[in-house]
Amino acid sequence: MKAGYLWLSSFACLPLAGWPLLAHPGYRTLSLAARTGLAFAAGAALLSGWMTALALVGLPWQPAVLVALAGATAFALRLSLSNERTALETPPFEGPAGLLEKSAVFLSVLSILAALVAAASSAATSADLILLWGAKAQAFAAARTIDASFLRDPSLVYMHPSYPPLVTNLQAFATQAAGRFAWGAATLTFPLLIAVLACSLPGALRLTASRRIAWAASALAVSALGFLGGELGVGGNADPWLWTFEALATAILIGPAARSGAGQLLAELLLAGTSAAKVEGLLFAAAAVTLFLMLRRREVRIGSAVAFLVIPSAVSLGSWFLFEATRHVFYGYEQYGRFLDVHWDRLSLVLSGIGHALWSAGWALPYLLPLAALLLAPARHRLLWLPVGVSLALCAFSVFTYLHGDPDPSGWISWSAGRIFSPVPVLLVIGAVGARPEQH
Amino acid sequence: MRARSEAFQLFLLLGGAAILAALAIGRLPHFPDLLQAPSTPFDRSAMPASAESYRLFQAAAAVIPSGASVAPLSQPRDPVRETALHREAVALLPGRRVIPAALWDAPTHQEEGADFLIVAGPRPSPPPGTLLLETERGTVWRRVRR
Repeated sequence: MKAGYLWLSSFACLPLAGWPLLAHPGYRTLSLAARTGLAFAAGAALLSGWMTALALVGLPWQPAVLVALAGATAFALRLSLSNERTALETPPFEGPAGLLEKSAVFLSVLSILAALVAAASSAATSADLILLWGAKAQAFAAARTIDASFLRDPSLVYMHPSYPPLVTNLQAFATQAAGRFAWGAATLTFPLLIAVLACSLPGALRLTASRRIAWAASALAVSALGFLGGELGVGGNADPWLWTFEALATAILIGPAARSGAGQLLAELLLAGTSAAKVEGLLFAAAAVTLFLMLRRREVRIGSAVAFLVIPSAVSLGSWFLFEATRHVFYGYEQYGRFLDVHWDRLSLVLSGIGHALWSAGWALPYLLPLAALLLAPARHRLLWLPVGVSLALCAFSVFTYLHGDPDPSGWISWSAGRIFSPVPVLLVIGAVGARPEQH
Repeated sequence: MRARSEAFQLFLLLGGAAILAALAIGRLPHFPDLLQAPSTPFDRSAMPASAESYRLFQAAAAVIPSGASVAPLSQPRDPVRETALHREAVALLPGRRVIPAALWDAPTHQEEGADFLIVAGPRPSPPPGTLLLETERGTVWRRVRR
């Protein structure tokens, strides 16, 4: 029990590591809760990045050193903001929160509590926790590095040795801090990350929309993910990490914050976390950056925006690919069949399988309700195409993947499609906020 | 007109959040069950078999020393079940060298080289070694080298 508390509480180091950056005056227009949540996400991306870098150069992990390195990097990034006009624009002042805002907060808290009860009662535990995430993290913590011999073991190839390292890195960090892997505590990362999102998403959306819309949209995003997380069993796996990074990055990229250096820097760290959290995170980051540069090319300096948005992900993922290649683990990512060997004849089977998977999770309401909010938004703004375009890219990628490999992908789709499509509701909700004309 | 539009969007966002929060609460285990803490992180998950393995491997970890080699088997022998047991044992027996008796649902026959055997299910006959532990879920054996 004590190890479990230690395991989970070690994640308090993440906002500490990210705080030197979020304490910069440029972020002071965000609420303290939003900055704390964003510091958590930024700290997670930095800490994991350093763990991969140290593994690459062959230096063993030490939790205190890792936190210090991540914190120092956050501080160095903060210094890079000091010489330019970086501050986020201040949203218009609004009076005390009314009944609608309080209702949004109440629904978010209710969803977090439901996620907590589901995880603590073991009803939301992911099958992948025992099969790969926990087993890998435990081995890496024991080796105090990314254990290449473990990843090369042919009897362990089912653990997907090429999967990006962020989640196993952070779980290994907690395992080192606690002295052992705490299986029960690992499942609680699901409600923890939902809570991080509930703290930070309202503030990030508040830069784009009125407070009542921002808070209500956050409540819908949090309740959709809380429901899907329990229904799909994501306790201890990578999906909640991916949701957090993707939602926060998108919320910043569609708002006025993305015009400032401070906003772009934060988005870069979140995208680096996204691309290192799951395989499809790379596609998300590539689609988000491409759409951002297309939609906002007149508002930003393209050169610096590309550098801000691409370099951290390239460094984060590049160090992982380099580690894989130099240790003869893998080259790039695993593929399901040959890339151009597409079985179009399975298209109807794949689409009906996906439809069934989405319907079985609450009659597809987690998807239909955000879609309704997007389609019935009072106005349209071109920036809504960023989250909508990324959603379409994720959906197309998933269908394309399912058209490869297994002659009958029904089983594969039934256990994976719900999770693969799970970021879509949040992107649609953010699209509904982005559909509104900017208030500035 | 504008205010009405925003009110409608608010209604959709908050109404949607309320529906999904209610669905999430409705899918939780029944309240009397919640009062009893799960004995493993897999008790009420989609893989109750992992809960059984968790209990067996936790008990086995107390009698199998660190660094030893161990093969998880099922009784009766079933390569599909033994594939799953191997994967769970790798996670739940840290510090031991876990030898697969089956991989990808096919027997490997590598269990012959293991120092210890964990047998999920009834006690095997003839005994594969010296019995170290017996629980409701299985037995742990030290192999006798010939």
